[in-house]
Amino acid sequence: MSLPAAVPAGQDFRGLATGGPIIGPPTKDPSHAAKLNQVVQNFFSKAAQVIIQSRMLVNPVIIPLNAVITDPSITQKKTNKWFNLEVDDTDTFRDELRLWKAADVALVTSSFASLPPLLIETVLDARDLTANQTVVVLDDEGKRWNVDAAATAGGLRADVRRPEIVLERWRIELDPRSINTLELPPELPVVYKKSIVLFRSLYAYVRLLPAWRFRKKLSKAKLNPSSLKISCRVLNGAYPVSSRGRIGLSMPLILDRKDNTQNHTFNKIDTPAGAFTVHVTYRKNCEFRVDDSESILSSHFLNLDEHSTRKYANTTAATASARRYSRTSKSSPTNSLPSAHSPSREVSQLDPGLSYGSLSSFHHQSTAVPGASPLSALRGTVTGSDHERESSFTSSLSTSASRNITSGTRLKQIDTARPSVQAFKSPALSASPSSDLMPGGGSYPRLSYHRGSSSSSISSHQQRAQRSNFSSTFSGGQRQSTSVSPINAFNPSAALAISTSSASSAGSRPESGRRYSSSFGSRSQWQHGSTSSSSATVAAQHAVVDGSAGGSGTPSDDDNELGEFVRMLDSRRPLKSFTTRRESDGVAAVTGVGMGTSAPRTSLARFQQLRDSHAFLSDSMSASVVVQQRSPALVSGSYSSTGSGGSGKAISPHTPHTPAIPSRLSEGLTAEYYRDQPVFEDEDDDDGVLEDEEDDRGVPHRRAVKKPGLAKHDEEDELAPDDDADSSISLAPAPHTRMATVATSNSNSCSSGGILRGSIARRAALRSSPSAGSVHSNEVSSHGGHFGDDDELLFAMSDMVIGTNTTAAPILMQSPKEAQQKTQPQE
Amino acid sequence: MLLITIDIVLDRLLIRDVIKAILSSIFFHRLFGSIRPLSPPREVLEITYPSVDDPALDALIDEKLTRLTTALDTSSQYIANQPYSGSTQHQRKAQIVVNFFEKKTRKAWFSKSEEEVCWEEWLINISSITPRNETEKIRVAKSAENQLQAIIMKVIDIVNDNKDHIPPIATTEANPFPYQISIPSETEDTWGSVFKKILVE
Repeated sequence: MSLPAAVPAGQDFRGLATGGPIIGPPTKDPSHAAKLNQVVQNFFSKAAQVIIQSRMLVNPVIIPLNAVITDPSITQKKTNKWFNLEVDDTDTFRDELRLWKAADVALVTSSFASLPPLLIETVLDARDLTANQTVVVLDDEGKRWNVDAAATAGGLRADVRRPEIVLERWRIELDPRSINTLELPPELPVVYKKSIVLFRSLYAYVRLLPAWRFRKKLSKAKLNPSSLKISCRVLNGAYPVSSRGRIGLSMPLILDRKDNTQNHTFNKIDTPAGAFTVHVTYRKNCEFRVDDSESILSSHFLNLDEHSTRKYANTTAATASARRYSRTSKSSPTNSLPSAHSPSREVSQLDPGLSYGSLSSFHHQSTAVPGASPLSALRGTVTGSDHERESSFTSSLSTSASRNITSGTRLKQIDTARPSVQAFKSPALSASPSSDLMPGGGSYPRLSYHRGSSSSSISSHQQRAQRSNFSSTFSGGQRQSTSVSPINAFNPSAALAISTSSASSAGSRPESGRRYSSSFGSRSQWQHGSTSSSSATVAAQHAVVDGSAGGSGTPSDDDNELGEFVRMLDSRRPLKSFTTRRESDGVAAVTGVGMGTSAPRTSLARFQQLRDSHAFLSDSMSASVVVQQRSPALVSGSYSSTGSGGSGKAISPHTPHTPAIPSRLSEGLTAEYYRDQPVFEDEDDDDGVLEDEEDDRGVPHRRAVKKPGLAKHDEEDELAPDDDADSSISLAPAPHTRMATVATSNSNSCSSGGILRGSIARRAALRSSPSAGSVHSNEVSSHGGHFGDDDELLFAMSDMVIGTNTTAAPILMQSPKEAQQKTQPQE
Repeated sequence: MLLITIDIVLDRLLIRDVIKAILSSIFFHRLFGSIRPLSPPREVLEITYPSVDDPALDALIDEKLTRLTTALDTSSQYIANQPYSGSTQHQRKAQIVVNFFEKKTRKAWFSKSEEEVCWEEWLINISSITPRNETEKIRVAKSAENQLQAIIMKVIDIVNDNKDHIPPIATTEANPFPYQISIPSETEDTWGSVFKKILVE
């Protein structure tokens, strides 16, 4: 059973694909050298094909179906049958592989100027990530590790974006030094036979490695394509491999593991030209994802909402409403008045982001929430009555706002007519149902909007997202207080916040409402009807800032501010005419108008009495700020469980207030945020003003809010342990996250095209810049098959050999016959 | 002759798929004719395994797997230490054997006779267990995944480390080496059903 010393003449080492060419024993004739050359050349190219085709899509080589058929339209994929393993032939990397495919073994063996090793790298290509997305890798326990942070920890500069992570490096090598000159060189048929085994096992092996699994996952997510790609590089092993501009194979990504990579060497095959080896070093953990702070935050707050809603439901009189709320937030289209209408509205609103994936479901819920809330009832009326002329949701919002004011009774009717609305309304709120709606549903999104726009770079998406969520939280907090006491609860932290609430309460009063709506209407004209809430925004913003200041605040200041505000309002009455949106003051003033004239001044007094609740709220606000700061760092945690866990922790001391922090309105906010995207961007101009304003007030916590994005990496390491348990997340979020960002960008693009374009250009630049000197980029050439040329040569040669090797013929003829004989009795 | 033994403990419900993966991997490396790998490749327990695109072989393997599961279900139970829960567990055992043969021709005056000599045997020992609850089931499935991955890796290592015993390929048949799949427990009464398949062009 051992290998026969002499290979029988006529052994077909070329395989049977050719229809039975027989190759004679190797001799020292030129044809032998040529055949050896072919074998060696195809070692390299076949190994490269097997590896590359398992990692990326390649260009098949199309050839005419049949040489006889001249119709060029009848074609087939060309098959590479070398080593009896049939794979599609490809011309991908044809140029890069030319060195090995043109190898001259005679030269190699005589001069020992060895053929350089062929290196094939599998790399994770993260070029398409946006600035606020980061790549994380999951370890065996499902814990997330931020790749950038790992690279920084590994000594790489933190400020350089590295769009490439090396996952595998294959080394295919012909080592002439191992030629044993004392023994007869191996027979080519034996070499060929052993190579069959090697390439089969290589084919199987590449499909067991982590990179294959990751590629499978990527390709399964076709409907939600990830911004991550796997591609290959072909390198000349004669040069050192550069890791410049990328994360090399030696860079550990999972920091608590010593060995991030593993090696495997296929048993060498001795050939007359040296030992042929295939070696691979690969990363053991190749489950990568894209994390996006927006999605993290969204999920985080979604969880927060659900969590506290549940809690709330169990503890307060509003139980029923809260529960109903939470239920309706999932299924409102079926049970709310606007349900018939809202789906289409949602579609139109979310149109750019229909492909959000999981995010869309979240936002979908958010949009659905209003259907259950008074605000939505309001909207529902409006949309129901005149949805025909409703061109956009924002317009409907503004319409509804004015509707609300002019037809307050109608609103009440709606409220009573719709149990869910009624139930929702907390007793304290019942005095001014509509007022509740305005600030909660309308204004807070603006908050995020203004704050977000304060940073003009594309990375502001991140901050924006954080802020919007932050504001959501805050509005939730307001809600909570509201349930304690109708008006004051709204102004826990600042006079500006008061203005918000008063504006809202004004909404219920015809007079002030008219005013409010008029100014609003005028503004909405040039703000495309979406500004109804922006007035409250500023107020809310300040409230947030103050709240986050942890300030039990300075009441006197608040009062002063309030007074000033009122005065300012009056003086600013002609605000409707202001034409630049820079005047965020004015925006706030608009709100104030409502307050100053119509809002109950008694609220001032009440407000002061409510400092206690204010302090509470501030505390819980700062708590939520903490949550906020944490959340960007949740990169290594799961979207959901960590979010809720973190929030739970932060909030727990403030149980009486916390349930309200995530209010139904706050959920709606996120939707608003997306809906209002274009306007959002429009008002980029406001940034300067707002920032200045805040700076003047010396509120440090604006920074605190902003900080998470910047301090991400540091915190993440600290937080990582908390996230250990969070392995339940599915892969899905990554692609979805990506989609969300894309959608956001799209909707922004009308006004922020410059920014986007800039970033695209930057990425393009990244892409085009060579990352390593010796690295060949993956050039896809459509030019025809270099791989195949050699094939043909060998085929021809084989045929020639047949003729000379007549001794093989009897065996050939016998075998099938005998085989049949053998088979017949048994079958 | 090279004898390779593989031991695997499996959930009864997973046996068919997992053993098929193992057999496919073995045949993938042992059918020396020109083959086209099945594409897209098959998967079980999220493990991709190679198969030759050969319906006849597929049918043969399926038939043998049916026999195997029958043999398992009719085999006597015995009590064994359950490797997953630490408790004891009823197990059933069965074997499946794959042989590869070399055809050797004896030449005499005016006559020729051919004999088949086995040059490689794969012996797969299968223990079948039935998980008693969902947790155990998950654990057993996870274990099956790990075992299967390790076994395919082992197949790859073995075929790479042992190449010298492969007989020379002396024919132009699509499959130079006849093979046989058998389930030893049924050898006595159904020897005739042991299928020796030789693919003819």
